[in-house]
Amino acid sequence: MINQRRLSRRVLLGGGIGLAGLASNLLALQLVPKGAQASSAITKISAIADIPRTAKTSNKALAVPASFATLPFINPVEPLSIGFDPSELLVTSEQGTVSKLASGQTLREFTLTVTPKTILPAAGQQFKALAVNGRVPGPTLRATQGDHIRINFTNNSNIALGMNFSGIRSNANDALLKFVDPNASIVYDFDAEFFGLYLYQGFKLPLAENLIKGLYGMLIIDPPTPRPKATELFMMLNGFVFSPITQPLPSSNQLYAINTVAYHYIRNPITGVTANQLVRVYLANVTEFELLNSFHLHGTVFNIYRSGTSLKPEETDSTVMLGPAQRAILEFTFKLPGQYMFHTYQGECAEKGCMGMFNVQ
Amino acid sequence: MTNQSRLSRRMILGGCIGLAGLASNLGALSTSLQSVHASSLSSQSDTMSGMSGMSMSSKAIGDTPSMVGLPFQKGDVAASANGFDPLKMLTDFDPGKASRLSNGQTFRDYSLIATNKNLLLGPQIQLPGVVYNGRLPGPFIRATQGDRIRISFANQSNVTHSINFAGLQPSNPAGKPQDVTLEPVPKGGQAVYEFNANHFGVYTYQAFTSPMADTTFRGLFGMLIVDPPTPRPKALELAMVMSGSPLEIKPNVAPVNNIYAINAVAFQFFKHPINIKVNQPVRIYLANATEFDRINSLHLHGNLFNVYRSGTSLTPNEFTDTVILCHGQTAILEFMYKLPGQYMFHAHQAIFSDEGWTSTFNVTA
Repeated sequence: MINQRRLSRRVLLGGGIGLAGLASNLLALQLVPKGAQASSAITKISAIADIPRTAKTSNKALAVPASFATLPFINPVEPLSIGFDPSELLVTSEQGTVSKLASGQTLREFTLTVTPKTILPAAGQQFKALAVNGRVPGPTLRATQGDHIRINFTNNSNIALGMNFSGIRSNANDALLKFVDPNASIVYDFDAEFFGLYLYQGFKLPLAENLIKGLYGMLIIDPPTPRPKATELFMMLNGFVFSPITQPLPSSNQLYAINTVAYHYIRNPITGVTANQLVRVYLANVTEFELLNSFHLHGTVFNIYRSGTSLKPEETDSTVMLGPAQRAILEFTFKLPGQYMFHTYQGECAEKGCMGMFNVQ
Repeated sequence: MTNQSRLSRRMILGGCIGLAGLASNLGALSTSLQSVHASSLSSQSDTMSGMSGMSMSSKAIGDTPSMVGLPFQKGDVAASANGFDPLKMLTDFDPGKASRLSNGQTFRDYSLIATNKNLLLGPQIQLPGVVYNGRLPGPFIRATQGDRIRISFANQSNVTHSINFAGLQPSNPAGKPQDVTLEPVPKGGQAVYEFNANHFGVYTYQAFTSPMADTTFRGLFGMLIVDPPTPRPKALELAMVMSGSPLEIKPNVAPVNNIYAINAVAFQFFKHPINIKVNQPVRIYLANATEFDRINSLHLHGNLFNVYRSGTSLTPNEFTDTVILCHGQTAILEFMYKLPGQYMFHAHQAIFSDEGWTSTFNVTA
């Protein structure tokens, strides 16, 4: 009976196409100059449909191969239809409402509200999620070591759940025992004790079917002396199962993504990065039904700071493996302008949406 | 059985973390561990006799509302059913019979006896096991760097096998060029393995035979801890082996685990949380003996720990809350709770945690 659980994994994939072929296509659409790119942060390129097709995009070398259309989930998702834009999520973090405690300690207050929300990880693929502040992943919260953090948490979903702040040395988030009923609120209070890259996740057993609903986000605690100035990007590796979760539990996901929407950063490559400019990716893996996931970058290598708790990298590589709930900070530069893919190195996950692209000027 | 099972499954890379990383944050917890107990560095005999004050909540959490719907959560596995107490096993380190050689070297003599034994992995879940010294996992053998180790192995089980001590180089008898740990020992047979504990670390030992996976998940697996010459700071030391088992084995079908645990019994330390104290340094010796799944992990709530991969360094590799181990890998985790509360620790592969690999620390002032 249950032995069949993971056997179907191999069968799920049809004929894949090479990643290299994919790399050479949609990028044509990035050749259109954007006026806003002068700003220091990342400039977002509009969705595919909005970009005027120039002569260059019909260049034969850059033509979309016919096989490309067979990739699942490649069709664009209109950001407005899901209420959040992954290009926005990529560069947005919250500093909270800042005040001073009597002790002189900086207090940062955040509000996290869980609501049911139907999202579109791919065109036509509705997923009934539980969203934090209307988005999946939830907001990237940011504080500095030594701050005090207060999270005003409201559960407007229809199930009782708690929020677990991974790695935070506190008993305020004792999610196992302090479940928050529907339409109830709780305050999580804790110190930002050690700098690092942390995770918050909605918590309810059975974990397998509840961790995948979209209740997750990152919490960054910056070191007292900030890391060197860089273009900072926030990425969560996630996956979705659209059919109901029943026994036997799924052996894989039906769709994989970076920040929820399959292929978003292929259709909307990351621009505003120039050669020799330091890029820092805050990366977390919240993919369930996979033992692990990974991030692989073309054309350069990155320094890996696992859990973000160290200022010295553990490793320099072009691939980092993360199990569920693991995090890492990646730092890199591109030496030359060009188009550089990033994707999970698990090919079956990459081909179901977990890919993106840098367009380096 | 099913030794062809793995052919169709994909290779994945285990965690490969360089040893070079050393940083301000990494030292933070270990520094505080040391400062709290600077005056009480344990003697070797202290560490090896197991720590006092260890206890487990007698009241079972049992059917908390949050547990409804999980398999194996109802009822208990009595210690008498398996013949070993999971709580005592956490701190049960085997120092062997120690003596001194004429050259001054400490000599430790251990005995491993393999037998067939039925074990309960959960209420009503019986595994036809093959185990060392009547327990699953096998004894947590403990020595100090520089010691001479001798293991007398008697195979009373129906599985012909030898024992391989990962990372430790056995001494071959004169004229034996082949690795003695690869010579099969049939039922009724005996073997002696001797080696020097050359470098401190957390090692594993396991049956070497075919089909390999089948004998590992049935219990022929244990941990061998070699302490550094200067002992690690005093702490509550807990030994944990992550494992899993299929409920069914079918010919020509890749086995899939359906029940998971640390130290054999699913949900044991969730139903009966492990009691520890605020500011008590805790050190977990962790090994992964899970077959049929490429990796397993330990994720701790409400805290961060220092990770010493393979236990072969005194400098932590990482300061985190989640560690992944592939089969055969080991790590030492060090942490301390600053506030009372109940804190879960579990595999962060949700399927594993839902099927038994979920535990709790009950931290009191």
